[in-house]
Amino acid sequence: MNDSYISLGPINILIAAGFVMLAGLISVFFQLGLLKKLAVGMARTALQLLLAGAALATVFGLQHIGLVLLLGLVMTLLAGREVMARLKVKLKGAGMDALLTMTITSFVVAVMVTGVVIGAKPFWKPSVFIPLLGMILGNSLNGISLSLDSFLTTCAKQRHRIEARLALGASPNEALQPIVREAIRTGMIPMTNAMAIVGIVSLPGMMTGQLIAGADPMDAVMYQIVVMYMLAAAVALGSSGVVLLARKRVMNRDMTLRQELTGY
Amino acid sequence: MTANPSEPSAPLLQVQELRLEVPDGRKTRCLSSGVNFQLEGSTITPIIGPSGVGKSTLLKAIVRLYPYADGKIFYYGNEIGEIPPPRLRTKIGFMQQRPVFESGLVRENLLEPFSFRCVKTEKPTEEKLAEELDQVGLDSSILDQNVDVLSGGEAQRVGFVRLLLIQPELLLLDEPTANLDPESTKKILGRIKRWTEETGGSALWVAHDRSLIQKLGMPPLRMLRSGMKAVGVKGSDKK
Repeated sequence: MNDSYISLGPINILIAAGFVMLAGLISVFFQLGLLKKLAVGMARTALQLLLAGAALATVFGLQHIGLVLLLGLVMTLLAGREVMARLKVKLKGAGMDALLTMTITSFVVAVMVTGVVIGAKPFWKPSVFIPLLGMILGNSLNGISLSLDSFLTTCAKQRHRIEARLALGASPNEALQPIVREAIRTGMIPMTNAMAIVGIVSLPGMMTGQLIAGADPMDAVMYQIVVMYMLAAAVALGSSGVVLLARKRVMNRDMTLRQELTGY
Repeated sequence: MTANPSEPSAPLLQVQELRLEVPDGRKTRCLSSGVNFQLEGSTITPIIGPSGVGKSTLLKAIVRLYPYADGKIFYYGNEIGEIPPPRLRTKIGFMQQRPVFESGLVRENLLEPFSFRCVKTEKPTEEKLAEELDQVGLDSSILDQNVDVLSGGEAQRVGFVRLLLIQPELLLLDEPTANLDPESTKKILGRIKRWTEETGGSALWVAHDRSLIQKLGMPPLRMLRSGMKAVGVKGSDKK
């Protein structure tokens, strides 16, 4: 921490709560019916973040690899649950594919970045590993759920197109190929968009955080560049991984679409 | 790969005690059961029957695009479950009621199957494409048209050309001429007849139109909730 860092206490939080009151007033004025949602959201925000803070303080304090991995795993499971909740087309096993992809790709990328790129010692140093893993999970969750949702929805919607290709002698992979390609693209687009505007339109949260904490702007920028590259890899791996796994699930042993998807 | 070499004496297609079901909520509903029939080479056999009895489903079951609940289907004496589906589907050409194309040119759509690993037929030349199109009364200039601008009749004929180019031995046709103009219907019928004569191939043709059924030349098979009956070309189906 730098000397210029301004610490916040309960008083600051109470004043900030005034901003939510403002949102509440707007809800009342326009009769949006959001008052209850806002109140719950306000409470959840505080509670969830305080709990996260306490968990982080514990993990940072104990400096134990097992604890770091455990926390990482819990974060991954919660992200996996979110992916499943976002899926519009339900297919048995697809949630497992998402979870498996997210766990493997996120951990691999996080370890590579902390250990090789940043050179943290040890590579699981909680103050580096956990925030990076969190960012990776947030982005790969988005990419994975977009890709998986696009893949399953398109399979269901374009079943006649898939059937036509199968009827002409295509193998399942050949029949699904255009849909696979489009699904992976869909998952990666937010990331490529973000890379195009970063620093111009948006100042990413992590960089902002470092600046507030008093870091040198160039240092913060260096970190942010590494993070953006890392996220690009994580999203690409996550999107392609989950679609390749789900590709095996949409067909049955007759090499035709499973009935859940055909709407028979 | 197939377990047994195909027996020369075995019929082209043999269906035994087939039962077709569809999911109905949490349970399944039987479309038809006890379906038995066999096909010989070089014939065009119409299939008729009330709607909802599973005629389209039967065609899909033969190429394993739809799982059948019970019974057996043999292709030249080999149970179809033993034949890898992509290989089976290049031997038995299934035509959807309406052909589905990939977006792009007619040419790209006609050539696409040749990028599939299981399609062993040689990629057709421009001359071959033109010749096949001519057989169904289409000019070769259609090759450079986008599939989106084809009329219903043109699309159906292009679909036929695409299917015949991969040289199947048996065609499964699901009302291929329903809602088509008489001209397109005539061209398609003529092409299929020439095709059976030239290649010795056969076709199973789901049809409703009585005059068309008579032109196909074989006594129709009537599919019922319980079983399949051969009926005479004329007569048994009183008006």
